[in-house]
Amino acid sequence: MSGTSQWAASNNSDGAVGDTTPGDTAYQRRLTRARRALPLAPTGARELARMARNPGCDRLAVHGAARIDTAAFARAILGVDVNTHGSPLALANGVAFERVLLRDGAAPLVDLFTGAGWLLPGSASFVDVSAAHPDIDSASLARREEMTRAFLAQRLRGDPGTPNIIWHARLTLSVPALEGGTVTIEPDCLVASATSGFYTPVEVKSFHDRGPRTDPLDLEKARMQAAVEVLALRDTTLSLAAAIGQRFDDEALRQLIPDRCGLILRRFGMRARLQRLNVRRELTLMRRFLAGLRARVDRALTTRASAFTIDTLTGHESIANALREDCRSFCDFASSCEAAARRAGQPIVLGHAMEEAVGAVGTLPRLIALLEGREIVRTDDERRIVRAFRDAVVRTEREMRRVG
Amino acid sequence: MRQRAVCSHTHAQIVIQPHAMVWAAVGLSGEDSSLHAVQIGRWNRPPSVTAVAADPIRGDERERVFDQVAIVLERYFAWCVKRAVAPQLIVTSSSALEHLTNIAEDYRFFRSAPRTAQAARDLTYFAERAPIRGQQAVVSLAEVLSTHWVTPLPPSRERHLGIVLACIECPPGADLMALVLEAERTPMGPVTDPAFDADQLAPLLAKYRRAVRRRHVPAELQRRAQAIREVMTPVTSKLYHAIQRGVGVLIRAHLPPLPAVTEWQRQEVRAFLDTVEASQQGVQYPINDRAKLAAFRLVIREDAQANYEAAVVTDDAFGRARSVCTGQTLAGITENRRRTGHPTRRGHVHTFDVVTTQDELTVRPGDELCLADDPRLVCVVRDYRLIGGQTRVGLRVARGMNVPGVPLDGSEVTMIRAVPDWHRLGRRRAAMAERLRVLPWTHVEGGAAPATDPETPPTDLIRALEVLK
Repeated sequence: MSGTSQWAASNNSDGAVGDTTPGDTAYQRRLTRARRALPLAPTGARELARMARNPGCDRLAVHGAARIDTAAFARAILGVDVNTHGSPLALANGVAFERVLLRDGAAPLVDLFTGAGWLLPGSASFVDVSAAHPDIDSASLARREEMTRAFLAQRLRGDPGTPNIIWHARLTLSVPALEGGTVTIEPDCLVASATSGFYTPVEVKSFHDRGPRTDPLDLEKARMQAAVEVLALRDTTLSLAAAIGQRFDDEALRQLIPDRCGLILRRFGMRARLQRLNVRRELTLMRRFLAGLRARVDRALTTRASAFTIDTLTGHESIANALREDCRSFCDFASSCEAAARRAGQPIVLGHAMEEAVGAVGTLPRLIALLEGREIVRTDDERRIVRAFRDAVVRTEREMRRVG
Repeated sequence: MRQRAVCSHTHAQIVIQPHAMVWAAVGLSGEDSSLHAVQIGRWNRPPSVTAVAADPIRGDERERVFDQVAIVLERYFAWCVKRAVAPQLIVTSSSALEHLTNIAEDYRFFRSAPRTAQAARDLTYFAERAPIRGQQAVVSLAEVLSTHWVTPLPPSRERHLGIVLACIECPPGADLMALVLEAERTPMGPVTDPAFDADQLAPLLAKYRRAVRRRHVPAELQRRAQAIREVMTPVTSKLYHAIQRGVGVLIRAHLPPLPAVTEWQRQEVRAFLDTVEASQQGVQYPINDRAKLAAFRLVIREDAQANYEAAVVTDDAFGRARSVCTGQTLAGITENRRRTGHPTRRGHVHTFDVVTTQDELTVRPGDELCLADDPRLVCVVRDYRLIGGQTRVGLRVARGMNVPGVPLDGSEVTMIRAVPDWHRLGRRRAAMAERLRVLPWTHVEGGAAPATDPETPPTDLIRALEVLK
C-alpha cells in the first residue's frame, strides 16, 4: 500500500480525507465527460476552502471536483459580472507586506519567529523555494515541489542542516474526488519550530490585525486554508516517509504535525504579528467534506443521462444547489442561484431566519396562498406556521390600535 | 406580492439633529485606516469640505487631508459645546463606521502628524459612542433604515445603503430586483470598486508615485494629483448624496421618536461634555482598556442594551407585538383574581392568572413582569400550566396592588419584562466601584489564587454567586 492510500485508509476510520482508490478511472472519466471543453483551473487551498464553506451544495462540489474556473464560467455561461482579481491596490499591498517580511534575507520574518519562541535565536536558516525557481512554467513548479520534498525528507531523517523556514514550499494533497486526484498546495511558509522539530504551515495575510475587531470572515478563510495546508503537509510527509522506509500511524503523524498552524497578520504600517492557531475544528470540517465529496459528486453525475455535461446553463442548473445567505461572500454562482431562488419563491431569499421559520411550507407564494385561505393546510408544521402568522397579524393590529 | 420595504416600527429610535454632519469617506483598498477622499457637510446642504489625498500613504498628503477634517470637526465641536448639544455624524453603513473607528484607533496617538492625530481624536468620540445601544452620536444610515423598515431581502444585503434605499423608494409596479441590482453597482462602503481601482485609480496613482520618485517639477505633480482628485471626488459625492437621500427618507416617514430618545439625547450631551472636559485636561481614550475600565464600559453597554430593548417593547407597537409573538412578553386575559391573607405577616396576597394562547412563551417561576400600560404594577410568576391549547400563568402581585390596582377578571393585559431604568447604571457603577476597589487576583500581575478548601464548598451556591454580582 502506498503512503498516501495507507494514510487515506487510516484516516477513514475517524472520518478523514481519502474516500476512494486513486485508480478509480470510471469516476474520473465521468468528471472529464461532464466538464467537456471547459478549461481546467488550478485548484489550491483557497479553492478547497471555498468549496468546504457550503458542503451541502452539489453544484459547487461538481464544479470544484471538475476543476472548472467558476468565475470564468459565471461570466461566460451565466452572464454574471464576477470580479475575481480583487483590487490591484490591495494586491499590491499584500505583495509589499511579503516584501517587507523578506527584506535583508528575511530578517524581519526570522525575528518574528524568534521573538515568538518558535525558533532559537541565531540558529534560523531561510530558503525561498520560489526564488530558487522563479519561473511559473510546469517544469519550474515541479522543481519547486521536488526541492520541498527533498527538504522534508532531510528533516524526516533528522538532518540538522535543513532550513528552519521554507518560503513558498509546494506540497501535494491526494484528493481522489477531484479531477486528476492530486492538488498542489502552496503554503506561504513552512517553519520548523524549535520545540516540535518538524514543519508547521504558516499563512501570511495582509489584512490588519485588529484584535477582536478583525474581520471574522477573513480569519475563517485563513483558518480553512491553513487546515488544507496541514492536511497537505501530512500527506506529503507520509508519502516521503514511506519512500525512506519510515512508518507513521495516525497518532504518530498527528504528533509530528499537530493540528496547529501560524498566521502572520499586519499591524499598523507594515509591522507583522504572529499568531498560533489551533485548527482542529477546521481540519475536522475539511476531512469530513473531502471524505464525502466523491460520493456527492458521483451521485450528482450518475443520476443523469450519459450525455450530461455541465458546460451549459441547463446542465448547470440541473445540479441541485443549497443556497445560503452567506453564499455571496465566497461563491461566484451566488447571484444566479439567488435569482433562481427568487423566481421559485424560496424563503431563503429573505434570509436564513425566514427559511428556518417558514421552510416547512415550501415556497413564499404557497405561504401567502395558505394565509389567504386559497390553499389547504396539509401538515401540522404548515398549520403551526399559518397560525403563528395569523396570530402575529392580530397582535400587531391590536397594538397598532392601542397606539392609535 | 408587494415588492418594496415596509415600515416596521411605529416610533423612531434616532432623531436626526438639524446640525448633524454627513461623513462620506473612502480609503485606499488594502489600507483600512487610510483616508483617500472625504466630503463633510451638514445634512440638507452641499459639502463644506471636499478633500482628496493624491496618495494617502504619503505623510504630507495625509496630513493635508486630516487637517481639513480636523478644522471642520473642531469648529463643529466648539459650536456644540457653546450650545450644550451633542454632535451627530451620519455615515453610510457599519463598514463606514468601521473605517472611521480604524482611523481613530490608528492615528490618535500619531505624534509625528499632529493634525492627523487631532482629527483622529475627534473621531474617537464617535467611535467610542457607536457600540452603545440607543446612542445618538453616530447614525449608521443603512442600519437605521433597515431597523425601521423591513425589506424583501436577506439581512446580509441590507448593509448596502443604496440597496436599502432602492427597497424603500421602489415605486409601485417597478421591478424591485432590477433597482436593487442597479443600486448594487455603486459601492457604498469605505473602499472603491475593484474594477474602478484597476481601470482608473491604480494607473493614476502609479503615475503620481512615479512622478514623486523621479522628483518631477511641482506643476507636474499637481497635474497628476489633480487627475486623482477628479476621479475620486465623484466617488465620495455619490456617498454624500446617498446619505442625504437616506436622511430625507427617514425624516419624511414622520415617525414620532420613542420617549426614550429624550433620555438618550440627554445622555449624549452629558457624554459629549464629559469627553470635551476630559480632553481639555489631557485625558485620552486608550487603545486597550485596562481591566477595571473595561469592566465599567461593559456594564455601560449591557445597561444600554437592556434599556434599549425595554424601550422598544414598552413604547413601539411593532416592538411589543414582536415581543409577544416571540414569547418574551405575556399577553392574555386575566382570570381568577384573588386576595388571600398573608401567611406570615399582616396584609394580603393578591394573585391572578393570565390565560394566553401564545405558542412560544418563555416564562419561568420567579420571573418578574410588569404591566405594559402601567409598569407600576409588578408581578412575580408563581407557576404555569398547559391546558388544551392555552397556557395559564399564575401571577402574584409584588407592587402596585393599590395603585394602579390588580386588573379585573376578563381584562386584556400585556405583561412585559422591564421598562427602561435610567438610574440602574448609577447603582451598578457604585456597586462595581465598591466591588473593584481591590482588583481580583486574576487581573493583578503575579496574583495568586486564594487558598480554598475544596472539601467544604459553600452551603448556598446561589448566595455565593449573588455576592459576586
